[in-house]
Amino acid sequence: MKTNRILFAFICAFAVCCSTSIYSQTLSISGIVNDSTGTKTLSKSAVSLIRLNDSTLVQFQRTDEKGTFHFDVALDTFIVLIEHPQFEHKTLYVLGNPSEKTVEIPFIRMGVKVKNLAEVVVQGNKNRIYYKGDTLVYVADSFKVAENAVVEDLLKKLPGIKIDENGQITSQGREISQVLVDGDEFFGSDPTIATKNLAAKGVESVQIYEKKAQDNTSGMDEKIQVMDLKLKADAKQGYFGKASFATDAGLIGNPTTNFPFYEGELLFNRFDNKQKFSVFLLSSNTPRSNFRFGDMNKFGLENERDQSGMSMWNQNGQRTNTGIPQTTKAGIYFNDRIKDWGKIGFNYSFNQNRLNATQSSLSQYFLQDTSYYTKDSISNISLNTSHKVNLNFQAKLDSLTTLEIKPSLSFDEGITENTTINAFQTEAMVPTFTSVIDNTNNSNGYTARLESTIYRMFKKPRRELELKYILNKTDNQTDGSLLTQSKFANFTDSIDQKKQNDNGNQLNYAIVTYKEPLSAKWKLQLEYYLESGKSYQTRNTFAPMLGTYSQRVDSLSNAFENSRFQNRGTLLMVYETNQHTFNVGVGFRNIQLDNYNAIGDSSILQSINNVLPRMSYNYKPGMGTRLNFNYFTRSDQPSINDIQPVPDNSNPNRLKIGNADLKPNYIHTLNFQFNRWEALSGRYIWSGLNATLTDNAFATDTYFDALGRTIAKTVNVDGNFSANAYAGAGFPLFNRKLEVNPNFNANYSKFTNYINGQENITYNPSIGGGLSLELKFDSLEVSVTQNYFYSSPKSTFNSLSSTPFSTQEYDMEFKWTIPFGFKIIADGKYTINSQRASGFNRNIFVINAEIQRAFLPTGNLILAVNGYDLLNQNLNLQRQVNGNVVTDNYTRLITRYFLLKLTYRFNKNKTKEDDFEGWY
Amino acid sequence: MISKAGIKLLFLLVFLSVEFAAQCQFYATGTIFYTRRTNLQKRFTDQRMKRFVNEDNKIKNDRFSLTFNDTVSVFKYIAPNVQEDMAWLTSKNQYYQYLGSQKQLTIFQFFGTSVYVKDSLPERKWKITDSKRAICGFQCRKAIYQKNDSTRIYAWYAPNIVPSIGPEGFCGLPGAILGIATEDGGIIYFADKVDFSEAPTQEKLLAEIGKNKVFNLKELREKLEKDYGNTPWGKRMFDDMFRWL
Repeated sequence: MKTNRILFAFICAFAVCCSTSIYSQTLSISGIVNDSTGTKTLSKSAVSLIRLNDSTLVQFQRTDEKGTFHFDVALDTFIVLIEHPQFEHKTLYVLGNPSEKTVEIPFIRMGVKVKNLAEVVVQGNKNRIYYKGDTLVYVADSFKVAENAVVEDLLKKLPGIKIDENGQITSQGREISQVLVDGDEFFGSDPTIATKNLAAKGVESVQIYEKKAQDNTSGMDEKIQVMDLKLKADAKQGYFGKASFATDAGLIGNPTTNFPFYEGELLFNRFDNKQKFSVFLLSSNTPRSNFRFGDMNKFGLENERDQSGMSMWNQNGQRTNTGIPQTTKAGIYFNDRIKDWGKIGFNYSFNQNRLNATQSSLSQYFLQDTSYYTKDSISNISLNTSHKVNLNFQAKLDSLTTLEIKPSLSFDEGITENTTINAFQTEAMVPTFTSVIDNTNNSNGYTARLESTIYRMFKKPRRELELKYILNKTDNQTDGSLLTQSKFANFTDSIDQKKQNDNGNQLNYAIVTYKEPLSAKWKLQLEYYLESGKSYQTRNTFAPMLGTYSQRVDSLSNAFENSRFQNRGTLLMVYETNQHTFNVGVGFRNIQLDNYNAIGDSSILQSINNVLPRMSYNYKPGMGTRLNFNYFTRSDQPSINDIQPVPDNSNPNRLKIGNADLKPNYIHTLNFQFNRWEALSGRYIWSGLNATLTDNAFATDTYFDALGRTIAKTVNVDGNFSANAYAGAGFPLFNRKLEVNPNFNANYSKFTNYINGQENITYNPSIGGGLSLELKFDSLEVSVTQNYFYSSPKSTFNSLSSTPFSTQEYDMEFKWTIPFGFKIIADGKYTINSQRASGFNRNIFVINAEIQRAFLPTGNLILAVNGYDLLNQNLNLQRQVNGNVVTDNYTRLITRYFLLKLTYRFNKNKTKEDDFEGWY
Repeated sequence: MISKAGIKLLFLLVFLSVEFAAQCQFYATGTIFYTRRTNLQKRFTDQRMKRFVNEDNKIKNDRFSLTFNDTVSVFKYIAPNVQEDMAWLTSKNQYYQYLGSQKQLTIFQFFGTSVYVKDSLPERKWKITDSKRAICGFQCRKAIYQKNDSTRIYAWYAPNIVPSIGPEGFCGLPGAILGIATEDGGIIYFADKVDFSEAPTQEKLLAEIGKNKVFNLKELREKLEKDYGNTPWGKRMFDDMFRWL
């Protein structure tokens, strides 16, 4: 506080005595406060005792009825500030003197309130300092500062600007209330961060102006003085990135690809205050086929995340577990802000996945009073390549209206080569016949999509309108060949065909949503949905004639079209308080379908009306507790493959045929959830229930011939039902060093299909549960998990098909941080498969381990040795129950391999770059 | 001032501190209503939080009431009637200040759990300035609290409201605090309504503790440090809870 800025009219005199006492360190100050006439004492006046050298409030008092106050304080020099609402405040000085123990001010007269006048004179050199309107501008470059100077050093050089030891800035004697950077509060918590950390070289000009106080909620036009630092264009730039490469250098060979294992990753992001630019590249022939979730977030690779469908908990990147993969991904992202009204985004990505999958399976087919087996060996080699371009344009048309346009385009190319060997066997495992089936397909296609949205808010709060239009066009052409050889007991059969398929659709959707508040708690929501479009599928099958594939096979060729026109209106009432949300509504829809068969020129017309009710309730009594209940209905169209009336003979032993009479299904869905977390104790529980009931579900009607070959046709069935319930909890113990997590789940399903025209209902109840223990110390984390799963499927068609089975899993994870930048990470998983078909009761033990060390002062360079599947047992083993068929299946995966991995993270400021380990 | 060289510009600026119809009375009981305005962009500098917060929703307003008589005051969150997005982003703690016994009961809202802490009234070193502004019709003087090296908090107190109380547990000035602001304006509390028409009833000033454990500050700090100190978000949680202390 500047003493010379205090307006005072009266100075209290103090007595100086000659007699001193070095021991008297206490000072007693007292006085009596009177009004401006000096005739009346003032009670309740606020008397503050302020230490002069640092302006600290030492004590304060209210004057009593007689207008008196009295302080006993340690000896110092003080300001006595006396305030009373009816008078001008009074400031007195009390100079501490060891010889004076008491200061009495018997008569203090308050002043009459006055209006202040102040005069400020500014002068300057036009070249360096000038006024622009009401703004005082300093041109930063005209004031010389040292090479590494910060803004504060610059400010000290500016005439008229003063900075005190606390960083408080005054301009022309008047306090600066706010420091802005480019008109905005750029830095987190404190303006001195800006003045002390921003390089002076980055500042173009310093501007001082007055603006209306933002924090002024009292409704008055108070003005504060602000300092705005205008930065040079390049001052807010930066970059960060990551590069990593891993290989085994072919030292521990890869029997599957005869190629050394490798994983390479490159991510780079460059930003300034408007633009953001990222490039990325990933290439691997290990199961690691995507970026870590944290990296995708950090580098803004939004669309890579969406398409992979990975969960945010999977921190180490998606792993391909369906065969032997080889992956390459690359692309760029670019975002730019257009002034303050718009945003534009562009991204391109290239994806190439090669997958070599070898599967073996044993299926048991249950018929009325007998059963038979097939043993299948499948080799599938696929190569998929895609190019994707997404654009995104957002504009604020006015303060209430936003427009968003999102076009996207993708090109896909796929090559698959599939060889399947079906070996049919009787119940006693006596071979009946064998087929070898070769399918080769080359496909080429594109998807184009345009999504435009106008969102409008209104002056009336909570009234909203959204208009959305989506255009989607897809076309995919496939050239394929089919070669089969079947050996029966006394004859052979073969197929040699070429196929040309053309699949596609062209769909338009328009959606209007309007929300109208009816009262503080009630809201009406109206939605109108319009869909119009068609899907098509053209199949041409050719058999060889005179050396070329020129003979069209009419029974396997067709041109088929499914047109639809759908209208749906939904009315929803919403009741909303700060703890409860209740929604109830109903939709009406009409869909008109035309399944047109070009060959034979026949049409099947359908017009279907549905009532679609929905309801939800949401309760949140506090931050840690949530209860949700949700019921809704919906109706989905069958896929074009389900309605195409011409058979698909890609496996001639298992023909599939669609059904043009198929109706859309109707699904009731019910969800219930309850979660609670007590923050202080750390205990939590989660629980839920999901159930669906489907009428007109799409099921198969399968005909078996005497040899066990099948023809499956899609039909509608009623009453398919599935439900699952789950619950779990966490209990921290011993100051959170140990956490115990039990979990439980139960599932039930009931599905109908037809076998040789007879109804078969499959019931599948299953139950699972487990317990995990997590130990957490500062440098060591260990978790142990055990899970058990039991399933007992049953079908009404054949009582022998009841084949219960179980799986047990034991997991362990271990993370140990040791000195000198070392870290050891290991995890193991032991799976016990029981009650499967013989040969599938395998127990699998997979152990992975890593030892790493961080280098550089920042720890940004990490060298690691990884060992995967140390026991060489990795396998994907699954059991599927499908109607009257029970299949045990395993897929070969990459087993044991080792990698030496070097990772480097970097940024412009050469500081520590964090790996985000979680969502916090 | 006397000019030296160059083109001389002379400006005469006249500042008039306008006299408002200011409150000229003393008050010792009643209720003060505050609006807290939080700039979420400044509160959350983390990259991830930035994705939730944009130019349109960066300002979040919450309402509070401070009900008091000459010895007890209660500072409470006023829940809005309608649901808000991102209600979880800002704190909603309750403070009971007992000026007679110089104690403070704080009920922290810790991720939905109420945590009860009773300790002595916080002692802060205030610096008194000569800067003044009117808030809600009261002439207030600005005081500064230097919390630590990088954080300064401004408070505006009204000498006419006698009890030494304020929002969010702030107190210790010669009058009730009607405005609190962090220096960067990231979080500010300003009184927007006062009601001195009636003294609050005893029930309104009574804290319901029930069977809950009451910590003192040291115990709570130790417990949280032990429980959450090794998590990466533990630090942020402390900062949130002890932001004002």
